[in-house]
Amino acid sequence: MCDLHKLCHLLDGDLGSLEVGTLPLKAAELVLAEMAELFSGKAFPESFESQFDDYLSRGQILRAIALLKILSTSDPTGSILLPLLERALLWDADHGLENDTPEVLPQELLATHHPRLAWSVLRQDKMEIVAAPEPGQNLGSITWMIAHDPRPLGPQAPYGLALVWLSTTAVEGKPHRNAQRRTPRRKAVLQVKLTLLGQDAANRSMRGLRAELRDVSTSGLGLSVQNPLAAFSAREFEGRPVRIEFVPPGESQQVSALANIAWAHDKEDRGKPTTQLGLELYESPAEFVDAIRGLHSDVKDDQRCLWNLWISHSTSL
Amino acid sequence: MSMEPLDITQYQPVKSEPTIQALAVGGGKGGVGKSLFTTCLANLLGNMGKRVILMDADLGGANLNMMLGIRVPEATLDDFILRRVDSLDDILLETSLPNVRLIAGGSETPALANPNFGQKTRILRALLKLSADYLLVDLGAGSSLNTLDFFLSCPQRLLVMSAQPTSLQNAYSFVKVALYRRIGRILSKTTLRGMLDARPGINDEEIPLALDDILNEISFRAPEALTEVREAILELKIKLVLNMVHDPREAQIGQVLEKTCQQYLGLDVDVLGSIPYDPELVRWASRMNTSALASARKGIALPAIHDIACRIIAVSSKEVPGSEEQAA
Repeated sequence: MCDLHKLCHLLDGDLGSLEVGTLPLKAAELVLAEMAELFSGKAFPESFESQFDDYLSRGQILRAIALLKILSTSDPTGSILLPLLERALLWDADHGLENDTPEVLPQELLATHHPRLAWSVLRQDKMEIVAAPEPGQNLGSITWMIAHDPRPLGPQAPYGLALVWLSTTAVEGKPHRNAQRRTPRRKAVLQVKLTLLGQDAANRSMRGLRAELRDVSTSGLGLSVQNPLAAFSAREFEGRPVRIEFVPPGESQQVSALANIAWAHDKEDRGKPTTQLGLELYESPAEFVDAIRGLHSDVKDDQRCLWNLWISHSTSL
Repeated sequence: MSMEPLDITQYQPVKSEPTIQALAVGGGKGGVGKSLFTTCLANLLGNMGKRVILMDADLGGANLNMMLGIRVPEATLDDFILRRVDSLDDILLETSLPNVRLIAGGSETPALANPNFGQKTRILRALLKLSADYLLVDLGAGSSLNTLDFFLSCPQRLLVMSAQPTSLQNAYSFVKVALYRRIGRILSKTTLRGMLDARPGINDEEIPLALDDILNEISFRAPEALTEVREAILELKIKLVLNMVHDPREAQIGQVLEKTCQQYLGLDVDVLGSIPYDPELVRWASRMNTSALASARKGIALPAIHDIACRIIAVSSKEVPGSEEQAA
């Protein structure tokens, strides 16, 4: 078996084939070091690039990134592998909105879309082999499961072994906010209308609200509602169904979608009492997704925001 | 001649010198009325009994003297840079405006329009020693390093913009570049020195452009500088003046800049006031004579600038302990 095949078996979850079960679990990460050593100082196997592309095309992002991570031992500056990482990050940009892969997106995993930064994060993050958690149990917000070998390995690992990625990108002890989200959020500023639905929306002051969009993704939105008279509290919002409506910058037709208020909290924003809301979309009509995509942009997010706001301002005159 | 950048870290706004309140007026775009506003502001502060020094920091394109009726200044900043005089006091020009004196900008040679590190250091040190209540620094258009350094060196910073989208764009770029200049100076002491400098041969994509990316990079590669950078962002407060506003609703464009700066740069940019378009003031700017100035004084812009002057005094009073009574 060539080195790459061994590695792929590991990444595909065949952890038993490497006989890691014979090792004490606390030393299991040594296997990864051994794997890395197999490549250290040698020319990369010819087929690593096609293997990487294969993972990527199947949406197996974690395996693709993990492959780069292990190979990076032999390419610390990224002279060979950085273009591949860029490809993964572009895959995120090109397909992330359309392909709702169940896996974390590269940009989420590495907490940045910037290739050089992503490379730095990739080098700092860790991979380990740990006892797999009980089915349904969460690994935590900074741990991602790359592969799972469910064969039980005694009392130490009754649910088998898991190859995991440990994110170290948390700044000051907090995980990057994007790492907690299914799809990456981008900042956006736009006035929107929020209508609370349901018979229990009795409080008239809450029925129709002007809110400010703060960030967007194709699965959710972050909003800020001015609450100068403290007419309502955040608790009244949570779990409520709402309709969100707005006119995309430069368009004349309003778009709308139904959503659920996933979380809400009161917050003072620059001295003014506001309520911050997190919305999870129930439905994503095509025109709504298009509008959201229009609010998205690349590194020039701020310029886009400036012009969106300018268009809203000038049309209101 | 070498063009070393000014070490801004040595020139944080000086709080131990309460005698002079330095206020920079920038804006990025030309033609938005920065110089006219600065001159009017100086006039109003002077009328309130404040001793004001106007400095024309549009090096290479200086013309503030014209607005004050001085066609050919007897002395300029060039004289100070070239050490023809010992002190900035020696180039202070009296003007026709009460309590207002002028430091005329120089423009004798291209080199003088781009002073080097040592020259800029000398100018900034000397400015802080001047005896006056207010130093108003009128900056040129654009975002040259000189302009940014003078802007960042003053504890109060005004940004003048009109309600035009081009002005909005330039004002935002100016704020962003000023912030990055400050961060760049802090990083110059770390391994990330030069990270924000675009250099030939380096792919632009490799230079982090968004503040989030920059902070991420700092937290990974130069965490020792992170606190200082965050403090610099908090400290960089900018006041916005909307000029030449034809309709009061146009002034809401200030909120566009306010929100974008807050959201993407983490900066507080507050609207200090808006000034209506005043044809009398424009006429004065084009004629530069005494009769036009007399008409301008009766125009609709001056009351708005007066309000702004009062707010500036109020802000200064808060920053200088014990000066509240004087301001009142």
